[in-house]
Amino acid sequence: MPNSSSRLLTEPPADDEIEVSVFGPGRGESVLVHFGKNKWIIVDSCIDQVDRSIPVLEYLERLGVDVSKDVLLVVATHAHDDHIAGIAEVFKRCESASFVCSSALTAEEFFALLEIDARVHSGVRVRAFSEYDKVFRIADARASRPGPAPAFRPLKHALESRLLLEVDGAPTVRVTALSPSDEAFRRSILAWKTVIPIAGERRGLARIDPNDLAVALYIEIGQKAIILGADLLTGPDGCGWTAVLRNIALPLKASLFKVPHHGSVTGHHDDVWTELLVSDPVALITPFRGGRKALPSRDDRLRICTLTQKAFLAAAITRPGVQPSPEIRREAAYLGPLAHDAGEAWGRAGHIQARSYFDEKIGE
Amino acid sequence: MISQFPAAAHDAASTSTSGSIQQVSTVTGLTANSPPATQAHQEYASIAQQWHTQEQAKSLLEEPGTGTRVQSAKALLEASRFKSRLPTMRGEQRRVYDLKKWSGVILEIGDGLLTVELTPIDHAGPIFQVDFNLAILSPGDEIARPGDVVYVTTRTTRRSGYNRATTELRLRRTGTWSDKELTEIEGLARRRAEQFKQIAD
Repeated sequence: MPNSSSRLLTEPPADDEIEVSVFGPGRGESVLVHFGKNKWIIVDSCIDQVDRSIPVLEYLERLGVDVSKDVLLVVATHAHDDHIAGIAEVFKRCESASFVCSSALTAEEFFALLEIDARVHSGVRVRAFSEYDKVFRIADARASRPGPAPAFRPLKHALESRLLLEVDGAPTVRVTALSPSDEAFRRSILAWKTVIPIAGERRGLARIDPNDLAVALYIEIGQKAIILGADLLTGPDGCGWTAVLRNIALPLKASLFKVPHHGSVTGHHDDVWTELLVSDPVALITPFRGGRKALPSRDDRLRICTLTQKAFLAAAITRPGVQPSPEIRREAAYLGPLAHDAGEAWGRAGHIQARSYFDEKIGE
Repeated sequence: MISQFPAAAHDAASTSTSGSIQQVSTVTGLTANSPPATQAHQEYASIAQQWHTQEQAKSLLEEPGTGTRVQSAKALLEASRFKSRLPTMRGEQRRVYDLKKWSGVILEIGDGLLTVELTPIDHAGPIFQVDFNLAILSPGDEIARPGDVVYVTTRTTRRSGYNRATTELRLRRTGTWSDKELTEIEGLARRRAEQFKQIAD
């Protein structure tokens, strides 16, 4: 993959310039899209583990963007900690934005899981469920404000083929959800019913896989298209990329692809690269290093490099540095001989910035 | 008082084999102004009883007859030998240093390792990730799963001039769900879902 040492552009994009910025990992990933005339959407959120900042908000502030007015959508693609850390704060600051999440996340079963999580893990740490809880309270408060009804609903549901945003102009902008499919929705509701505990069962966090309901997005900006893959997986049948390829006909092939699931093979489908993307697209990847197995693996990187010459990683795959910081080494020294390999859990957020004018290819 | 007797008793031992009762009483300091032999005997016997075996305690408690002072001297000598074997708890406090606590969430379990993300609770410090050998799990904590909360405590103790560091990892016990609580959760969830139908597009 190219080892880019170019500096980030510090001026805001021009009115006729598209920008896709990817932040990660920090704690997770976040994607920012500018589609002209200082209008933005934010997809997912992450927190820099060193200074606890939210990189996407810090970046917009540096560009001089008024997030309370100029961000139109805040999208939470799915309920994993590494995609949602800080998203409640993002939504709170983006007062004119609608919040987009999978339709299943306002189902009764999901609210039950929210409440279960709150009772089991109260006060311990921020978790995906608690972020959604805060978001829903903000949305509820905005909807309940006295005065005339707002021009937009604070909460939008994402489902396969649903148009989430349309901005008329030159060019026209459309943001469409590629997922989750109806089948994924149905399977998730059923799965959640089975993990809701019964009396006498040990209290613990509900075991669900939110990737089934991940919201992948297709963004058309004039004659250009972008696919943001979130953590959408390949299947199972009727779900994931299999369903996208079967159920949706895209008007344009995308020239920029946010590679799903941190480049892992579980999010890879060959036909996505041949049928939904131009040849040699710009591929942006955020690593995952929240456990012992980092993504993308070496095989993942080799695979992606055979599919495009323009692949970029937002940050180093392994935890930063050979040695952890002196602060962590001192802290870990207390833990005794049964503790090994201490290090930053996530590290600093990296940033890939891709810009292109409306009439030229993205990344060139 | 305790520290005096051992030295005197040692002297008594060295003289009792050859000296008269009179000499023994002089050396041990059990003069007319000293506490009565039986009282001293009882004090030592009481101390010995706290720390020593049943047999040793019994022998010290044998009621002295005419050889009261000799018996007392012997008892004192015996007790002085035991003093060196008295546990160091008595008269020396165990000190705890560097007590530190973290809360953690289990990220992964596998390959004999428990990967945990730790956040300090009682001191300023970084959040970090660390692997623990599974041997750190206490009996009963083998039910730990990713996502569970754990508490890690480290402490350094000093005893007899040596420092000892220990680390303890405990699984947070969250109890079990009750019918009442689950019914409450079900009701809350239903109401929220209805509420959000009104505001969601």
